[in-house]
Amino acid sequence: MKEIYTNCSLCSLACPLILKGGERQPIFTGEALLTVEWDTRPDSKFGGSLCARGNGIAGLVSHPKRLNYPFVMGERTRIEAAVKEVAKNLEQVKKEFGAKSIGIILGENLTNEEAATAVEFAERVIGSSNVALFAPDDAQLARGYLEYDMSGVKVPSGGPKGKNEVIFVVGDPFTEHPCVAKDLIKRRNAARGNEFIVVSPEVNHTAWFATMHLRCRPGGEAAVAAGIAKGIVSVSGASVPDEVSRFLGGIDWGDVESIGGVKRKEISNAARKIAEAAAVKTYISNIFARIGAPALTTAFAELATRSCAGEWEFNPQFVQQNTFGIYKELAGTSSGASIENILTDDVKGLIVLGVDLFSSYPAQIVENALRSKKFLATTQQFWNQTAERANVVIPAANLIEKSGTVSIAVDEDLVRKDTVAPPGGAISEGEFLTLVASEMGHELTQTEVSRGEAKRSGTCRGIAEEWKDYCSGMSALASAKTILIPWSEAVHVADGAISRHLHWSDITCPEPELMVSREIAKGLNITDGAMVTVSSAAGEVTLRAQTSGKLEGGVVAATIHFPSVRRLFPWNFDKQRGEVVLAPVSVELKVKEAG
Amino acid sequence: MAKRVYINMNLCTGCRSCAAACAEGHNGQGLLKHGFVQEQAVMPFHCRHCDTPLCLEVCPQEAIKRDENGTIIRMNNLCIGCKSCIMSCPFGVMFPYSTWHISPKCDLCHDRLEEGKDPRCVTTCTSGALVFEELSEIEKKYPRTAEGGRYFARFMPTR
Repeated sequence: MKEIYTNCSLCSLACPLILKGGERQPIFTGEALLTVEWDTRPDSKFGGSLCARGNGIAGLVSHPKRLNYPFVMGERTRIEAAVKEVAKNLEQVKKEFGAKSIGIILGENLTNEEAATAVEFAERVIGSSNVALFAPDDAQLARGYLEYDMSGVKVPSGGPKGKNEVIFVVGDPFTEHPCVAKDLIKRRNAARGNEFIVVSPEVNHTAWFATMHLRCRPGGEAAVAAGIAKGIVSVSGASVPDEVSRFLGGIDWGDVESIGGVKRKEISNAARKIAEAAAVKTYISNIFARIGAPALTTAFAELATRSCAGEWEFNPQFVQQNTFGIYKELAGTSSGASIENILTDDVKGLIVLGVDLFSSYPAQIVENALRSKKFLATTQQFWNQTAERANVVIPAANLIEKSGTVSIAVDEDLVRKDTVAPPGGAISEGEFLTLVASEMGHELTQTEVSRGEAKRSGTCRGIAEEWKDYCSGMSALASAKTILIPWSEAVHVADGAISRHLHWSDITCPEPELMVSREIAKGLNITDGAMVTVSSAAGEVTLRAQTSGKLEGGVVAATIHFPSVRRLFPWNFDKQRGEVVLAPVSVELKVKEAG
Repeated sequence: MAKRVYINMNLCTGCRSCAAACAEGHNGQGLLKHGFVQEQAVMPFHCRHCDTPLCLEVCPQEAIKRDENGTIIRMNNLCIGCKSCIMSCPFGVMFPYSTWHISPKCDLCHDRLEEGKDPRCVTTCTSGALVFEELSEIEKKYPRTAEGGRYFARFMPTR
């Protein structure tokens, strides 16, 4: 029985695991069926722990619904024929409408080398710079880290006042990245007086463990983080970059309290505890796009962490495994178009690599784009709504089946080498692009992307403007009677395009659900199991409701990994920053059927 | 005394990785049920593998047996799905399976025990809440845990 030491591909933690070849042979691949074994070697990250996603990863590798042959216009074909079709159509679109009319959208299922190949393909083979990353759950976090450079923060010598450790968390890592729980709880319990400070609008699995839960308004995380950063800088006397200093001086505590929904006294108390801590460990987790203004939240949380006199560690935890790597790749080249430009009618030919656009953001603009392109080719692991609308569908290998590097954290790259063979005719995106380029008369070589720390901007320019935009967005939401926030089960990741094929997903979350606060349930007479119609400016959906004490006031939460729920979030494109913004949204509820 | 699975509720995050690992390791059929303690916790209901197991006593088919390690196991081929064991279990850890007409039951992953490994749920636990130990060892390591009330310790003002 063969044993493959590899890493999970379903979130940025990349937990180590062993895939063991079993004895049964699945009919469609000829490869041995695999099972997961836990990597419990002493030096193994997380000591062999795996979350529900990791436990099911073997099922994804040899999933009966994995695509293992290509389609051209819905007809099964061979890879060579599909590649020829793509090359022929790209040439035709280029001839008819020009090189700029071809765009490429990248998803997270790409290695750094493949992202570099995609950029090279666009520039050399097509002659276009229309390459964009589509990661609405992740891109803001990456931008926040790279654009707002807090590395210039300096703390006066003298060391920390306190002796205790503080864990500062924004979001819900225990649901979203459960494998970090062991270390964080151990640190919390290591000494009396250690603090576990959590900022989130709901009582989530992480907040259960909080010694101090700053329960903010939906989307108010950035405001609370700003208040904490302001408080810490004033306590510790840290020297911060000029733009930040001016910005902090201009922050009004009234805004922080009203937008964040947390009292100044509580924020100051948290800030004092963090500032005086002997060690601070900060986590930001945004796997279901729950955090309000992730870029600002990242910047403020980093500012708060770096302003402490004690030891510190800052972990912005990305959702998907390599969105940070791809974001870096595009930021470092002349390529990089806004996603909205690629979706518009100017682009006639589109290649979508490793992302189900429809699952990620089933807005009208995406649907129109998928329907109206003259030519659409896509690489997908499973048949989905993007594949349904494509002229050519290529069966894609997943990250466990690829060699290359992925950037799993701001200063950590993972080299993937010992791989499992992809099912049947599935190929990697890099291989696909190389084959198409060769068909079009160009030779592409996949070069290894140099690893190392991310290049940051060196300034914090634009932070005040983004804060202003954030405040006005939150003020508009203040009048909403009911606010919908994203929520999901621990088995899912981001849009659920891949994770919904996990066996465990069918058990824990077979259908979309709505969680309503007790106040709303009482006001609208919603009983558990009632069917409730949720409507927003973007659409409406009827969901089974469940009353929950985890939420309070006019807040409801729905399972974000179902496209029908994701459709409730209107297409919100920030033109200035060139990114799609997933944010809490105002909704109306109507009971359709009593429970 | 044989080893059993113990849970420290002060550590459990309710991520249900244990149940996912159990399901994946038993051909998709999970043997581990979870229950909610109000809305404050989701806890796995592990079989105690009792000294005097009522499920074994009531089974009309003798489908539930005790093996040489003291593990209470159920034979799929003998179970008729009458649910007597489910009703008799004082801890509510057994539950009917929705598609097969049988009552699944924790087998302590005896395939792994034979290889000297811990059960799947314990190995995968993301927070260190689950341990596979003899009771005497647990009592030594966590004297207060075994005294009782461990399920509610999280909500006590312990700090």
